[in-house]
Amino acid sequence: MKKITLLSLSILVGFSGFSQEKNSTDIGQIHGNVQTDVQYYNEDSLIGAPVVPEKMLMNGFANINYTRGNFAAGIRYESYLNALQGFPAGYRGTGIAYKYATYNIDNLEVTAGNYYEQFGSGMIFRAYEERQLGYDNAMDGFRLKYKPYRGVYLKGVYGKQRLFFGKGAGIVRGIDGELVINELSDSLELNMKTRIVLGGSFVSKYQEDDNQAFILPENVGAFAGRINLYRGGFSLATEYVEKINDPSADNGFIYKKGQALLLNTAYSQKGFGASFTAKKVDNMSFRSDRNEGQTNLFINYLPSTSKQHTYNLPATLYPYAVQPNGEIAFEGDVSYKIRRKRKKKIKIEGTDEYRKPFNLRKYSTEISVNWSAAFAPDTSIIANDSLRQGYTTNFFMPSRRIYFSDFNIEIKKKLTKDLKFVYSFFNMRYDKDIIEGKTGTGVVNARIHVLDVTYNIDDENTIRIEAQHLGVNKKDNFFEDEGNWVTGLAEYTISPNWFFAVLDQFNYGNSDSKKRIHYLFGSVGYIHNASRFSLSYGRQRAGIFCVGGVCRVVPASNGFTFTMTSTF
Amino acid sequence: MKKFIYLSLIFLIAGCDKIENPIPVEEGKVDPGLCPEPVFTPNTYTKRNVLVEDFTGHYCNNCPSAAYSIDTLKANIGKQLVPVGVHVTSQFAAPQPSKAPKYQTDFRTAGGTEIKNNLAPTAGLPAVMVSRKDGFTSTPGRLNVYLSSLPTNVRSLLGDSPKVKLQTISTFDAATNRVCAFAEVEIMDNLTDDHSLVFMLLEDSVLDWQVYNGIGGKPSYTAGDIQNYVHKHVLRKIMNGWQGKKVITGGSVAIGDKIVEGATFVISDGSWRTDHLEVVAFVYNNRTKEVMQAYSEKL
Repeated sequence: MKKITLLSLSILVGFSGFSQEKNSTDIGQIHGNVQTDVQYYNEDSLIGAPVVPEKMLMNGFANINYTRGNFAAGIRYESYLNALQGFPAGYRGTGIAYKYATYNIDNLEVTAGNYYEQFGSGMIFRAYEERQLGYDNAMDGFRLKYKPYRGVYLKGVYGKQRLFFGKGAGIVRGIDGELVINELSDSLELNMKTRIVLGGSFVSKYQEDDNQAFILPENVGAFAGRINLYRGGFSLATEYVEKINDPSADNGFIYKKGQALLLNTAYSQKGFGASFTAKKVDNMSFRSDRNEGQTNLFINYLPSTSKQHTYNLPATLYPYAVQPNGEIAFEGDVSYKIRRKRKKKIKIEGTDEYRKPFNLRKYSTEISVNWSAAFAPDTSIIANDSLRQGYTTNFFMPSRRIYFSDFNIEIKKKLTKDLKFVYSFFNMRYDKDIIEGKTGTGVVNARIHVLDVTYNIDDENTIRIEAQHLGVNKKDNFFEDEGNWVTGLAEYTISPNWFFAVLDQFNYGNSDSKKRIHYLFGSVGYIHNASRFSLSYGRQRAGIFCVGGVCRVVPASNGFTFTMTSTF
Repeated sequence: MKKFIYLSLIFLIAGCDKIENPIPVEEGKVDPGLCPEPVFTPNTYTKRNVLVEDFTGHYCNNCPSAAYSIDTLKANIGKQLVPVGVHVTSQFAAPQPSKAPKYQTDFRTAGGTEIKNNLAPTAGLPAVMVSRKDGFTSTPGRLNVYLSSLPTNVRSLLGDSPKVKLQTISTFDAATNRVCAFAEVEIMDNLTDDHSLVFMLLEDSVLDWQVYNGIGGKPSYTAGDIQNYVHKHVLRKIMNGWQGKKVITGGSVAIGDKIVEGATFVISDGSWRTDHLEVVAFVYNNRTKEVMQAYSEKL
């Protein structure tokens, strides 16, 4: 971030007039960041890579923000010429996709234009961007935030949601209030050991009734209440959301109300942490256009209750996508750090010398165990359903159908000053029909082992090696899918500027011998101050990419990829 | 804080539409117990009939001239012309309290108003549509024809082969005042557009007041307030909604296919003369709005 002259920023000159700053020498600041991804595609029918008529595709964006005192304004320029494979096809062309101006005065914040916002956990309202997914449901309208009294926080939003380079059909409006009990007075702030936060929200959407077959509600409202408690290392957060009749393409145009409950509790102390999450979702797809699909125009966000993995095989082959039509999910996580222990040197008999004893606990060891599972809700179909209620649900009762489960354990151990390893084991159960919306596949049971070894050659040079193996359970009526995989990764880093990596994924266990393919992929990167350049070449297999339980399918590809990121 | 609570309550009330019954009541839907479906004999009628919808009103002094033109055409053409008098607009068709006891009958119908608002929204009265066909004037999309060209426009369609054949069997039960109307639609061409079927209930030759300027109307009428003006083919009710019911999905029917559809209505207005009832059924192209075939049946 650096100051630059106002003369070079004639577009933003007008904005400075809004500022509350009186200092005429303060011309404000401009900062931002840029990213460009260019991919060249080779034809490769063997891996099922789709033919790309343009041969080369590009995604790019530039954020440019101006701030002066309590005023800020900015734009984001985006280009999809055309969008990279796997991105939603609606992204096409170039333009200013995000623009805003905002100021603060007397505990009031006003934003005009685009903005991101979240009420509570997001289960009733969350406008956000996840660039890697191509997900962006930014609001376009007005937002007010007001703090009328200490400990009281109010928000109001009104606008339409972004849909690629356009806007959705519906109008979204909502209010949220939050009361932080501890902040109400100095006395409470000093004496109250338990922090208590109460909140409530109401969100409504309007969309014209465009259906002759049904009488559709044009105004659909949802309300939520939440309580968060914190004391010492303990925390408890819970939120309940209910939505009135919202017939949509997602739920088959039924008029049942939607419900969601999230309960999250955690405890942590030095060297130990544990958390437990329970969630119920029932008919909670909430979009500003009832006819939309994919990840378009969601008003709300349903948090994921499964661990987001980073290693290639567990992260991209069988990740879980939250089912907005209904699921009951649980997650437990425990992590423990075995403290290091020093041993006294042992005197060598007959001499005055000492030797270092073998000590496995010279460095600490971290163990994490995580389990998560998502079940279909226990429902009963309503016969002769003239009111189109669809089904009834037992409120927090899972059925026997498991959509997904994941038991994983991770052990991190530093063996010497320069050598450390991470071992991970994953046992996943994945209902492909439900999660990927397919028919006739089945449930996959995959067991994955990952060994990750890092060795610091010296202060500048580091080598890291990953070995991964995924084996599918071929018994007990599980679906074999693509069979077994093995992955190897070698990464060499020369700090602070260079890195090199080679990755090979081999689908050696595919039942179709023609598909026992090596996906070899190499990359080199250069980092200079705030800029990063990388060039990659090779095959990338088809997979699913998820962030926070929201996923997109990534098709197979073969070719060059160039990425540049820079901030200023 | 109180203001916020009040604001929240307003939001709650204004932001929710609770739908108790999501299925719209299908206007005119027949109950087989009350309206048994009749058996149609083979339809040997091969001509295209022309629907002439006359937007009119008892307080429209020019309107008798258009009515007389249609009446004359009907006398000459006969069965192939299907006239409907659609009384519309508050200016010309609403009751006139200040003129009591004259002009107190309201011949307007919800369906007729929808037709005017949707198909001839800017037309002044009188206005006439000829099978709702576009292209009779120099203004694309204008469906009401030049009145001077009305006979020519009507006759230009009489030689066409119908893309659908239509016949109706309708009954009136005096004990229950129920009208049951059924139509058989027979496909005569490859139809790529959706088509809908409309049932209208008419009362013919209603005697009531009409204002007249003395120009172009039936010679026996004189200018001024006419007490026993004969309002012909008055639209009383569109039995299955002004847009009717879709009976043909474009591309999914074959020549020779037959579709039978019905509609019903119970007359509750005692002033209607049930021995003057007519049922007019017609099939129109949902995209172009053109009426492909019409059929009139006296009850």
